[in-house]
Amino acid sequence: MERPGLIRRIIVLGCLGLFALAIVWRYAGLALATPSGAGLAPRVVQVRGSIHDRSGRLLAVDTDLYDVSVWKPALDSTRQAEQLGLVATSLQLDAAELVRRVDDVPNDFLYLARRIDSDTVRQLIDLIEANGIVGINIDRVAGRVYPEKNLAAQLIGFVGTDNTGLAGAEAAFENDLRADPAGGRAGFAYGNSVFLTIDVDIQFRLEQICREAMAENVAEAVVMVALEARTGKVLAYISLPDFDLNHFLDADQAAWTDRVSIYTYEPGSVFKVFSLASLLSLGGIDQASSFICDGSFERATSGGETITIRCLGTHGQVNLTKILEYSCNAGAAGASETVTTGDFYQRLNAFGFGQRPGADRPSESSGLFRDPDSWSARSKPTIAMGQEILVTAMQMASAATVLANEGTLLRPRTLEAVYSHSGELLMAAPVVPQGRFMTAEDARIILDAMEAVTLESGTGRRARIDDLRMSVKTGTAQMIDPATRRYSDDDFIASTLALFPSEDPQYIVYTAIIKPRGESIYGGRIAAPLIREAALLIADLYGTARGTTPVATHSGRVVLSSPLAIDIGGTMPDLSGVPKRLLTSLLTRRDLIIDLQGDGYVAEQSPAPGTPVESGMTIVLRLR
Amino acid sequence: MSAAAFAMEKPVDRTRNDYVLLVCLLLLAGLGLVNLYSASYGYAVAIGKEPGYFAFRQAFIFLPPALLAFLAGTFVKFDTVRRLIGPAMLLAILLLALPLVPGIGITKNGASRWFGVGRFMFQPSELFKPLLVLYLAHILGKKSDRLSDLVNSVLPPLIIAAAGIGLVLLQNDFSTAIVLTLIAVVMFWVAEVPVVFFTALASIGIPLFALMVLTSDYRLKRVLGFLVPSFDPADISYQVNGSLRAIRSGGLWGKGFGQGVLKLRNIPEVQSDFVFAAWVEETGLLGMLLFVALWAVFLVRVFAAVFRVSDHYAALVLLGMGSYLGLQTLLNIAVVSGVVPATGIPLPFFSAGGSSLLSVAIASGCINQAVRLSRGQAITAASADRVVNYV
Repeated sequence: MERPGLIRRIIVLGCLGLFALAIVWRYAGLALATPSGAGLAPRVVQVRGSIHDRSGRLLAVDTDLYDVSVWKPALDSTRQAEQLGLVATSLQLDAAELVRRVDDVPNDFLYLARRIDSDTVRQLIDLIEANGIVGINIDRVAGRVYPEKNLAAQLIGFVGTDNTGLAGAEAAFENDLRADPAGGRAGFAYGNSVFLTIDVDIQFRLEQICREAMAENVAEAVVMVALEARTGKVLAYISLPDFDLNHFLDADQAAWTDRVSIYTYEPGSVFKVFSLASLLSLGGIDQASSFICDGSFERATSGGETITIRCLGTHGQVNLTKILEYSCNAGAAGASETVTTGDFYQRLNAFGFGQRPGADRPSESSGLFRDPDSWSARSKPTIAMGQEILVTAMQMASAATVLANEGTLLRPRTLEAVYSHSGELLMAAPVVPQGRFMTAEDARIILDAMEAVTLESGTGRRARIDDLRMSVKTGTAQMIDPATRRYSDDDFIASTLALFPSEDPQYIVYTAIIKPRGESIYGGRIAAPLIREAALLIADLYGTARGTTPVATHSGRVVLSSPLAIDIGGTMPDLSGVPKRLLTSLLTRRDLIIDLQGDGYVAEQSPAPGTPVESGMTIVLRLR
Repeated sequence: MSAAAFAMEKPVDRTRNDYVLLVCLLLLAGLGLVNLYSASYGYAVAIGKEPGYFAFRQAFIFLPPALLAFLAGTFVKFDTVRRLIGPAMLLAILLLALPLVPGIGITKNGASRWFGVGRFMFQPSELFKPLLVLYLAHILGKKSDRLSDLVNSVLPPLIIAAAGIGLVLLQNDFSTAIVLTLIAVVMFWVAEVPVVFFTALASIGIPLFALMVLTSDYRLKRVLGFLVPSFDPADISYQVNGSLRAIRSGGLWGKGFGQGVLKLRNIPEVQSDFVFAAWVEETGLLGMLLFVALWAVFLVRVFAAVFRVSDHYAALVLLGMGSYLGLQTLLNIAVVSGVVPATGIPLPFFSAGGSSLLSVAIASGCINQAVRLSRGQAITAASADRVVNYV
């Protein structure tokens, strides 16, 4: 080792050598990963499956879109501003802003606009050719188009720039929708088509009335879910504010929030339906059990502390029906004392509270229903009136399937069916019963009690439709102000649940108006009328039998009663418009001379109507 | 030593040329030009130039001065170089400040690396690379017996190097600054500067580096774009994605010269830092291996000479220039294959550009001189042995 610094030189050489080896390894990995043969492997065009509503109307479909980019060094520097200005106008961008952006961005490459439709691009290409513009690139990309724009935006969801689902059904059914390039033929691979359970007609009209309600009540948001009560299929899935799926990036991200499945809140009095149903099915109360409401509910705890639940009124002696009708807090609290905390928790849990509903969503909240171990002495009576528990709108609607199905909970579904590109049915979503824990009689008791809510004395009277029996419960819940961690004085959720027709529930509709700032904040005042409109719409569109609607059952046999033959008695009748064949019987009369002139229907007669008829009279009838 | 002294007095001897090394250089330069034509014609047309614009400019405008620089590196004796290197460094640092002068400097891609020379742009930071090697080899070689005295021997060249690198950073040219830093570190390292110097440097330099990355939105995005390819707010990975596609599509055999398609529009400014992507697309993994083999032979010849040459300065120059060319090549092809974040490091002999070619030519020339020096000694030593044997 007489050479100076031999070890150090070897270290330098070694580092360079190792670096070189690593890079050669990297290139080998890249180049040999996909055997590409002699030239370019034929590229498979991947077409993502489309999304439809229950009757096949198109909600999302693949199409060609274009990205427009600029390569700054290639721009004609002398005419840059002018040419970019032309491009900007063609792309409907602000010209000055675009020129400034191109100048400011440190990179040479930048996108001017992404996901442009083919019409705009055709105009842009014409413009580029006509003006000799250089440096603008146009790349074709697979793009997603949502023909119904805002409709059911959060349910349908959207895809990213690489055409993979990011939200909603696009994300939930990614595996079905995505095209598998391995299975492609003739350069094309297709994904499967997904049919959702929603009905575009219902969805659109309900969205309209929700939008009106949101504006009228100056609300932050409105949610509504409509279910087919007997199948659990979602008919309408509304979360406002919404956004245009075609331009989801431009939307306020608050609008992206799926307020049906993800947004959680304390449900308030609507929840009494499920707490009382739990108590009833557990045998704690029956229809006759009565409780005294003197304006509040008080109970001494084992620790000597007294807990008080205030009621909005003094309702006197109340039974199950009255508790729901008046929405009596003290009654509900008192009733909750008839069962143990463990039983109460487990039964509400069976209704789906604290659990994900499983409505085929990419993300669903299970709400917040704490384990009874962490309940305080106030918890049970408080939960009985719908506070101290967080729910989603989907949980509220799906729990109501228990009442409509004689005590059996159904899983809510948003997926109707999956079809292959060639139209073959791959999967039809079944009705999924989630277990039965309530008798048909008990479910009927609750439905009847809820029907009483629409009585003139009930909180749900504004939901009442005279000829359609509805089971309704309203609620108004205070919201926690996240800043102060106390109940806010301004923020409320007004909600209403309805099942109709009461005698045989076909539909469940639940709506919640979040943070209304209008004239009223009460569920009975603002949410119940919304439910009424929704029920009217659904009943009309699906032809639900209503009391005054003439719904006749046809035997299938067409019977025509034979028309009465014309006879002439003491006075001359008005024969105008009578067909000739009905007049033939007159010709048999011996006491009258009948003079029929022409064919068709009687146009003129003599004598005039009302003239006393005498024997031997001549009656002239002119027909036309 | 007498043999070496004897050799120094001999006139230039043809046998002292390392023809293997020279052939490597010739092949690299030739293949580089051919590849540049093939890679850049699509882009040249796209920006409204003749198809051969970049290749012809390289061959007829940038190559002649580079050839002169190579000859100068070969024949201007190291003694002369060492006499002139001090003033040359001062001049170089002044030149580095020029791009920062408003009106003279040219800002492109967010960096002010260039200043105008007539119709062309000159990038002084490229020229600074070989000069830094020559300068550090001179100072550290001169003080090789006093290097444990850090303050008097190591600090002055450190300050000069840091000044140059600092100016490059002010030009917002982070990647060139990194290459310069690596070159400087290699020089200090092979010159036997005590290890304590490097630990001190690392303890200051690494936090500073992190700060540089984190305080610049642009650099942070580059690093993020590298770590998470799908996170690409400024479309930085666009070039890298294009080059990765090109490498993959090349496969083992490549598509053949002139047959590449991805270079035509998928890799913006392919003629510059991403020219290697076109090479790999057209010649495949085998072409890549040929390229690496050429460089390996070249560098092995260079480093073999290091162990032969008795002149300490020549050894340091060989190590420095060899590391400069080797590092820059490796970093460039690492960027092209997405191994390190995208930067603005040209590929020696392949990338279009005059400043880079000039600097690479100077480095090759100096390497050539040092290699000839080492072979002159060796051959003379061998013949001296033979003389001894005959006697």
